[in-house]
Amino acid sequence: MDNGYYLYAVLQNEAGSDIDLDACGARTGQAATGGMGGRYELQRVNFRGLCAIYSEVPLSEFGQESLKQNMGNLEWLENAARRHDVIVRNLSALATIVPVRFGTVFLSLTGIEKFVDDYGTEITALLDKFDGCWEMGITLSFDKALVVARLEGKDDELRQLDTKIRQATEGAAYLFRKKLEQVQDAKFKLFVEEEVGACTKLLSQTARFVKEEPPGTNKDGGALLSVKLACLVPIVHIDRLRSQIELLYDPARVTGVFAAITGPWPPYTFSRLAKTAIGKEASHHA
Amino acid sequence: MPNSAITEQDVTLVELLDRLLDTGVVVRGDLCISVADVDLVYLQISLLLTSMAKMTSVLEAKN
Repeated sequence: MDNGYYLYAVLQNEAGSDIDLDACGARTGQAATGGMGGRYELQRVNFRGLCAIYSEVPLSEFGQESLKQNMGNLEWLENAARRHDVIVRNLSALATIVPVRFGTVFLSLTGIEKFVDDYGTEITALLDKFDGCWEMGITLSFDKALVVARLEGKDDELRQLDTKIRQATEGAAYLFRKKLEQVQDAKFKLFVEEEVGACTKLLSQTARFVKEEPPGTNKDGGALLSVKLACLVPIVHIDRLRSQIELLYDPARVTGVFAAITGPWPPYTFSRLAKTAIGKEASHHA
Repeated sequence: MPNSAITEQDVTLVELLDRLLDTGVVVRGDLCISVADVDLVYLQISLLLTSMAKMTSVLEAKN
């Protein structure tokens, strides 16, 4: 049976050589070995000062077509995703790494070496950026009805329109209601933008990098709108960041805005390579 | 409608899948296989349901 090479992460050569790969495997459930698929151990290949961590995987399970089919099987996907995460977490706990996207399988070790060769400069820059940090996720959810009710309490324009609706004839009230909806939408959008800005500013005091993920969320969204922020946080400041968010969005005090904190994660969200390099690679092989 | 059956573990799984499938170094080319075109629609829906479930539970706790 043919095997492929599942790539987990890339790190500096020296750090990679010191890692006990046996300890980084995901020995969960009935898996006897640590790599994806549970049949092979983690291995390393050193190339141009960097170290790539991989394991062999059967192409019958992780080949192009099999993988696409398996991705549609939620049970398989959950198991594989958790296994991938455990391995990357274990590596991340021992060294600074650049995680590679879930499901990246090379057909040969030469393919991994070519990847490291092509992206070595950018991977090295990311390793410097990630040094000593983990990723934290903050999701801000906004309930439009609650936010608007909160704004109405202190916004003259909204209050006046509300008064006009109650005093107007039926036809005029309809027009005022339309106007009110427009003003509410605009003020809700502004509120969300200001709140995200304030949260980003607060996070920036503790985090090394903060970004909206995906960038430019449509803040005209419906009744419930969620904005996701990802932060790269020095390990020593993770608890402080958590406390800051919990205090800022204490549900006993704040109405209409809810914050959910996830993490710490390996720096998944910050591991995208520059688009120019990806484009170059894609066109090179086209 | 909020789905009260969504658990904290589900939240973590959705967050995990969101990260693993939509982030990380993406490799393209004929030397490798990479899940680059995964349909993320169901994840977005799950995230929305999860957020609603969380908000509902917060509101219930407040009331």
